[in-house]
Amino acid sequence: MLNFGALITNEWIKLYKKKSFFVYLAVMAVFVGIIAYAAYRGWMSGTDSALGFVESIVSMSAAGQILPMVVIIAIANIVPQEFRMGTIKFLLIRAQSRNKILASKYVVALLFSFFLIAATWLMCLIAGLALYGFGGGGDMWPQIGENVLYLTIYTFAFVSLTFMLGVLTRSSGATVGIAMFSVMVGGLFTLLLTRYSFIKFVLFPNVDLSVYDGGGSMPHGMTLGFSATVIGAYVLLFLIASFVTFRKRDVS
Amino acid sequence: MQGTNGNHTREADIVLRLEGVTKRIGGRALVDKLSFQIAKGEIVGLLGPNGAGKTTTIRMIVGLIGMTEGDVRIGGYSVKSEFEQAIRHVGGIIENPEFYPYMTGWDNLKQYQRMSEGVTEARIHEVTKLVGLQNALGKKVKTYSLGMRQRLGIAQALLHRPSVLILDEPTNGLDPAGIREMREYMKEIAEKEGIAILVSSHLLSEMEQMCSRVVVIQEGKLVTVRSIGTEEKRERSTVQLSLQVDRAEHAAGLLRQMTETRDAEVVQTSEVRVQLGLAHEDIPAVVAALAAAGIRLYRVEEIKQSLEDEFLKWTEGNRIA
Repeated sequence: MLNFGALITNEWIKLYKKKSFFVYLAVMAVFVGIIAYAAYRGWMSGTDSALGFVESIVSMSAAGQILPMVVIIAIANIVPQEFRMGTIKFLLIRAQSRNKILASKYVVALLFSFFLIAATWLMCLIAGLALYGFGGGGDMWPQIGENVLYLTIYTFAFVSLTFMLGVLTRSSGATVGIAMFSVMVGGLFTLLLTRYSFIKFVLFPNVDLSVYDGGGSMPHGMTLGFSATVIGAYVLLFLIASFVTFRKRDVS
Repeated sequence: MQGTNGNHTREADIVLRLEGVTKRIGGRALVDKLSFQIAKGEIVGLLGPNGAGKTTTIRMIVGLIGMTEGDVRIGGYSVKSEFEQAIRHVGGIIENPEFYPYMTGWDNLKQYQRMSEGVTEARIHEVTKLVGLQNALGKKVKTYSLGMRQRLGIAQALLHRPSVLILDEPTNGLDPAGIREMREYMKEIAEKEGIAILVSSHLLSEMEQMCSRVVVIQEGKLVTVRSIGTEEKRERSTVQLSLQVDRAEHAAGLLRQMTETRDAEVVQTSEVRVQLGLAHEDIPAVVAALAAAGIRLYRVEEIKQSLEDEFLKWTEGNRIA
């Protein structure tokens, strides 16, 4: 049996060899740079250490507003591009099952998300150190960890949604469009329908776990555990839909 | 079961076998109970008018499209139930060869090398040399001409030492030199490495020059399986000749007398032309007799029925019936 690692290597190379790979990193660098500049000019209050800076940037209210979008754009193409370029034909006539091929793509989509989050975290740390130097904020580490976790889970949910859209539509345009729309309208949708209790079973009000941070509460008896379960259920649903579709699809 | 196509090949040599392959979409059969087989070293053409189901058939063989009924066996393995085992014996180009344009030829081949067991980098060098691309491997595929991409396609297909090559319209978009080159490659590969080749095309003359056998399909159904006549066979059978002479009427009379006993049909087709069918070994006697009778003979031409004529006959006949 061939190791799955070879397929992952292939998928990573397909992503990495594109110029856009560095554009995604550059976008995050510019984002961190702008905030660092604001902090340097003293426009940001309440931050006085490198770790405090990191903590505030990797939160859902800062990086959470842009990083998931960048990831969506980056990975939306991962399945549709094979169909658009016609390379799907060569890809599927190898001694590899369709399950393994799709799984390797999903794993690489997740790897890219983690990579971009890690890179953003690192850029924040470098910028923070440059601004405030070492020392102070040592008690910030647990909160940084939590913020990174919220950001990761939020991104993970939308990566799974985007991945499924890519498999179902085979069009990167439609995938990016629908995924972005979901991210943006999800909040509004929640706000408008908050009085109906069914809303707690919808993905969007559950996907940002940072709302429970510091004892925050949500309507209809939603809890951290409940939201985590809903996210898990949706991701599972997205994956089942993706794999069932991809396995059965006639490539013509 | 064997020999339905007049080709008595040994069971062990069969590398690709279609068993009642059927594809139905919405009650309409695109391919209907198609069965044929290919042995080692054979080049078989899959022929049919547009929409006959050639591409659907080829895509079912390589598992890109699912079968409604039937099965395909490659090297004994079922494409349906043992896909990974079956497909490792297949190299293919399905329509145009499409690569990742932003990567180099080398990077593209590396992708497929990683996906197949036991393919070394030395093998990549070997196949690129065979197709003459060794100097272009460092260039991005988007800079390649169609002919170069076609050659990279062959390299890709041969990489894992398949026993069957499946090529869907391989000469599409190639110029005459490219078509000829492609043909030479295929013959060479079939002969030297004993690889069986299934090639689909609608270019009849092309198939005639390349294939040892053709499978003709129409509306998804098998019409006929024919061997492309070998030289030996042609000699044995009756030859149709057209003679250009100075006095056709006189010549026709003489020929009728000569060939009476052999019931060959002699037809005077114009003032200067006579057409007749006769055995290969009788030709010198006919020529000598015409010369002896003082008839001036300007041309002796064989009238070959081309694959195209036959093809039109097969498919047309089917449509009427």
